[in-house]
Amino acid sequence: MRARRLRLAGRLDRYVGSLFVTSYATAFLLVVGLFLILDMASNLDEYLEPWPDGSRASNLLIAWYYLLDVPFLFLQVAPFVTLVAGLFTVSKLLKLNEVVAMLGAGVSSWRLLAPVFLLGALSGVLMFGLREATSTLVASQRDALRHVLENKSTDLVYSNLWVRDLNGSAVRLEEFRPSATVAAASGATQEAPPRVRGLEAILRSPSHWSSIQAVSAAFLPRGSEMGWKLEGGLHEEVAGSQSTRAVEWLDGFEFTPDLAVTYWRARENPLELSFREVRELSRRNPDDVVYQTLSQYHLTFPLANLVLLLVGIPLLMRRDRSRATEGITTGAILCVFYFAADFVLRNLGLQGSLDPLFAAWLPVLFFGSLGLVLYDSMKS
Amino acid sequence: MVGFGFAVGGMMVLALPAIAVAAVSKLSGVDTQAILYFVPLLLAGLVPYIVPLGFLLAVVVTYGRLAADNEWTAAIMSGRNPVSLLLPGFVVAVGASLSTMWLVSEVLPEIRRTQSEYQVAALRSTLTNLGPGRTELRLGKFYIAAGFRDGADFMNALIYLPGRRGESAKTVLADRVHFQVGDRFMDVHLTNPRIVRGQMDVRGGDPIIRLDLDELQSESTKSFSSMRMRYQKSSDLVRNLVRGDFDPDPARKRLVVFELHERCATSSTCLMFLLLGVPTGLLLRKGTQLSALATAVGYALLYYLLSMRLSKQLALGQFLSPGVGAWAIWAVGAVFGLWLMRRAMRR
Repeated sequence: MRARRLRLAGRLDRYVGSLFVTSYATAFLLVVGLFLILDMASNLDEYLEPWPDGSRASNLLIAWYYLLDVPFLFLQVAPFVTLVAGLFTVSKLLKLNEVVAMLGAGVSSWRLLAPVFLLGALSGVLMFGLREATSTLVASQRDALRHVLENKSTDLVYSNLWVRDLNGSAVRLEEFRPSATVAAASGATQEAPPRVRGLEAILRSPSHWSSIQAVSAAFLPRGSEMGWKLEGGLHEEVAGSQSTRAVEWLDGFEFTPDLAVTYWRARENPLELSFREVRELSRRNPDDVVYQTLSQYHLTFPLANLVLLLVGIPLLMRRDRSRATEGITTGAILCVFYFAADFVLRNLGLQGSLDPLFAAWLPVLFFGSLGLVLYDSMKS
Repeated sequence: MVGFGFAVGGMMVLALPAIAVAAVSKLSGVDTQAILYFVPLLLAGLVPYIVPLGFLLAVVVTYGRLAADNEWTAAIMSGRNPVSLLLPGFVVAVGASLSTMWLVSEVLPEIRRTQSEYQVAALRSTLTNLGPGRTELRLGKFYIAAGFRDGADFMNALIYLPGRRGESAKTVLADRVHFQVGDRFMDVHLTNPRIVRGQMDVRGGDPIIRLDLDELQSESTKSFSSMRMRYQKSSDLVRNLVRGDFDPDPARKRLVVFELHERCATSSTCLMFLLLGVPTGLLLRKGTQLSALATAVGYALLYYLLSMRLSKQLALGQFLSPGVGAWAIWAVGAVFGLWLMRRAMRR
């Protein structure tokens, strides 16, 4: 009997695809719901503690924080959601004997499951896009809210920030207050322009070092652009003439309030930086292995959506319908191994103990190869 | 039991990414081995939530499967009392509740204390186990940024030394920076230093600056107060309560009584989840298992949200007594579960 060629996006593909999408939506609710519970178990107690002035965080503030946190929780576990959805899709097909029927009709198991793998790959792409979108639209507000809840104050201030440049210059911000938009998300009342208290810039030029110190600075329009207007600004040469002069604007080091917030996020939780942010930080500090590893990791982690499906689904397909639970268990265990390997190697890369490329790509390449072998050995 | 083990194990697996990210975040810059040792400490804190949740999912799946395969119907038709079919679940719930009670009351406070102490020690180890590729280091307000590394040394470095003991802060540039870390102090060896800000005598060759690690770390680490409830065992709290240690402070006494009752209520969640999970499994048997599981997670989310937020407000806001406030949400869940159970049995 000649194997049948199915029409792309035909009825069968739409049926399997719709099963996967439904399972994905349910798995999303299940996994993200679980994560919300675990996150609340770890942190909600602390957020509910009374503030020094006797007040407490409002329900709306906490609810808004968790709502903004959902995309980030999802990004941590998206490959697992894809795997759970894939396993439940195949499990349902096995349970209703639809796999046997399709194999009997001459449709290979690879062709049958093609929509699942395509949608898994698509979820990886969407995951990458979601990370970039959330870092632009949501991250600052979410982090501001978390900062307020953890520090129990609506005075949104990021302390002791350092911003670096490629030529070795650096700026220290003793206290940085971001924009009013970000502050408003946390319920804070804040002066409109981003402000700094205690600014110290160490500027490097080809011939000498100099420093600028200021009591405070505000990010204000300067002609057609924006700049940091200094209050009590003093420019001093390091060594050499050591001459000192008053300055009104910060020159010689360009940075925006958004970049300062990125540096704060890199310090607090570097794993949540977007690819764009990591590339910018890496450009400013090319020798730092943390950013090198993260930039590779942001490419490989979305691939885990496909890798976990390649590993998990063939193991389930090997079982008959009465032993589907065994297949799901074996797939889950292999995924634990994948995650453990990914975690250990990524941290070795972040530490500089392993080359960033190896650290990020080894798990994907190893498990991806294993997945391809398992996929190829699926009964068809 | 198999389903229960599977559910709890599955959730531990799912929890691992979040816990690992949390560990990396809390122990920024620490080596992999230290993070791996920290992960079980974080995981232990989630056991009182994972065990009841796993139990709920196992109950939903088990009784849902019984109903879907018509085994529940067959058992009822054979004359068995439907309540007797709940007995195995009840036995497991009691066992899980007692274990959780012991964990929450006596073990977890100690684990939380160990967590906080471990964090402090591990962050200090970033200096002794610094990976070769990192060009930035901070501990408290101390900061160093290098152009590149040469083995363990930082090259073309910018160092910020926070002010201490009446001295102002210093910002220094150096061609090479070498660290020698002891138990309590860290010696910073500078080669060809240039002062950017502050005062430092560099006439006598390359200076060595000694920093107190405890001082540096105290600036950044949130100190944990051993008086906080979460670090105290229930047996100690009960002893102090009976002795009358909290009588002079009625607000604190209410808090202690509430905490003791809340630990009991949290531990008994499995029993309430039995009442919710069985009818959910029976009623949703026609759908997919995934939808039943998602519904179960919805219950759990709502319950934990209300118990964490509302219970405390009701008890400490003096709307209810501390004991009643701690059990209020549990009781509401149990009543709702009984109503659902009645509906499921009738159907």
